[in-house]
Amino acid sequence: MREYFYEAPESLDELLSLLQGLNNAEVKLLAGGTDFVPRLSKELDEIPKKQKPPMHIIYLGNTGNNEIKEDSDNIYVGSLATLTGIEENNLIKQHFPVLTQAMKETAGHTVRNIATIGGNIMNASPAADSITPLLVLDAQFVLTGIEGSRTISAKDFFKGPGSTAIDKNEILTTIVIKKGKGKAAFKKLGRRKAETLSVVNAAAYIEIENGIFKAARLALGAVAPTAVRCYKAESKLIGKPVNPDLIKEICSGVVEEINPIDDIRSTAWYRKQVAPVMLERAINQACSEE
Amino acid sequence: MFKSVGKRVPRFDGIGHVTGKTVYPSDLTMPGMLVCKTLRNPYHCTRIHFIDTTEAEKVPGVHSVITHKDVPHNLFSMVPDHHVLAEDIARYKGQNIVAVAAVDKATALEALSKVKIEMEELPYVTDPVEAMIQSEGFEEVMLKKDLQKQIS
Amino acid sequence: MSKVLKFVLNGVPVKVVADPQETLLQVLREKLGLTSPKCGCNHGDCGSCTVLLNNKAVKSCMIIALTVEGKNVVTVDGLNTDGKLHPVQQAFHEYGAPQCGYCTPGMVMAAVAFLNENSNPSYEEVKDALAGNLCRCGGYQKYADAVMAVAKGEFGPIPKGVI
Repeated sequence: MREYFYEAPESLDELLSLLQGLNNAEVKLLAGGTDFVPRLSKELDEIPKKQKPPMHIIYLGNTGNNEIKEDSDNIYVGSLATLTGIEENNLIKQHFPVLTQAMKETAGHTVRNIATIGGNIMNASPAADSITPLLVLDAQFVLTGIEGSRTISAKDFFKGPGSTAIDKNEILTTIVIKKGKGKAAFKKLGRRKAETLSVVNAAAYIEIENGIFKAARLALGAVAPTAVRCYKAESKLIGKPVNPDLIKEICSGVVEEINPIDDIRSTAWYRKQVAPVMLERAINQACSEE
Repeated sequence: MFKSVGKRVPRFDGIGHVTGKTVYPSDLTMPGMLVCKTLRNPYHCTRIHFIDTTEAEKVPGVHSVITHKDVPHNLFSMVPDHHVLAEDIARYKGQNIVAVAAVDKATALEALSKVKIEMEELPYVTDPVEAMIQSEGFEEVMLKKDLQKQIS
Repeated sequence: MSKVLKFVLNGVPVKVVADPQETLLQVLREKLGLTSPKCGCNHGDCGSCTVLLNNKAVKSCMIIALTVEGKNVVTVDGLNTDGKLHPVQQAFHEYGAPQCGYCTPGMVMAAVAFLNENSNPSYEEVKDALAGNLCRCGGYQKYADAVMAVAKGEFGPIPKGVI
């Protein structure tokens, strides 16, 4: 039978030195646990196939870091902010309503009350609903280790399903988003309306000047090993007039930038049909808010 | 005139439901209660060659490990051709083969992990038309006449 | 390795020994003998395990028990002060929403948490609040109608706070 240990460090420093001490052990960082705990319960219901090493569960909830702050240039979201905390936060509603919208469509109330944005990011599902908006908002992630902190752009952070550029013994502490003047929108397609994982999700950020696209950042989720920015579509859009037919045409070309798979939620074929549609809707909605 | 017709009559167990007082089987516990977990057929159609439960029985906290040999009357269901615990052939994925009674779930699962079992995956049929064509391999086809005989 | 867990349950401080891998649902049902939160799926989909954690509705099967140290947990058993039914419970009963009753404790807690923060909801908002609670018997419409009725004041004032 597998052995489990539990620690609840009271600060980031305590956490980092604890991780240093557990360098060779199997460690599970626990934030909201809404993805980890069901998987753990499933493992505990199955006939064990082989002896596994002890698992050290480290609860992050007492290390603080769950607030949302601002200065003149940026908004700083603590990685342990709950999804409900973000959904209800006035700074986010004011500056990044796209994130508020994405939170409202993520899982349901009872999950959002304990799930954290850091957990959603570090779980790095290609279908995660917080990641596509963060990609188009060009968010920066602050990673802290015992040596200090470094910052990495969201667009360079995700390597594959469940895999990121974080080092062992580093923690994602803050998500930094620069305040801007553009508008963004998020569209999600699931197998049902509520409490569902994305079959495809899309986010679009645009800046319009004199009826011309001055800037555009587009992202799609659940259509590749990670959520992806659609750089080719973006460059086709920039400098062009805001025109629904042109937007539709550019979005239809986005199939070249994605490679979805068949999985339990949907098929590659279906995702190729709907990804352009969801992206088009996201762009159109962002435009209507400019 | 009528006590119930045309009226909104509350359920007799409604208060129990809304207060969480209604008792369901999984809510029941009793002193000395054990947990049962089973080893299930992982394939759709399987020939079971042998089962060895000696190691499983030695796990501390295990009270009993049984196979079909320990079941006095191994048939159940409306048409009694279902085995309580599979005999030489298990006919569906998930069919119970070995059962363990232990002090808790983790112990029961640990015991099942120590059951030595040799299984051979057999070809399976899941289409009814195909099944009718292939029926020469199956001796247990029950005809209506046999059913009458069983009941009478 | 087990640890001592201390938290407040339905207004009363409790102390229990829990293993790291145990969920709050397991500790409530198996160690504290409180069987009102139900285990339907054990992986956070059905909501029959819904309880309040620091006044927020959560699914207790998704929570590691040791993480509720020092926090406030309320189950449906904590709602019946003075032996009277909470307006949500009265409404569910009168509207005939529970059939087999298995989802009901979870529905009650989700509705109570929602109404504590939303005094004038729309029907869409009510449906959204109960979206995490599945009902195999199909009681959904009656549950939502009953919650709207409570919100409109048909079952009297909603008690402030929960206990």
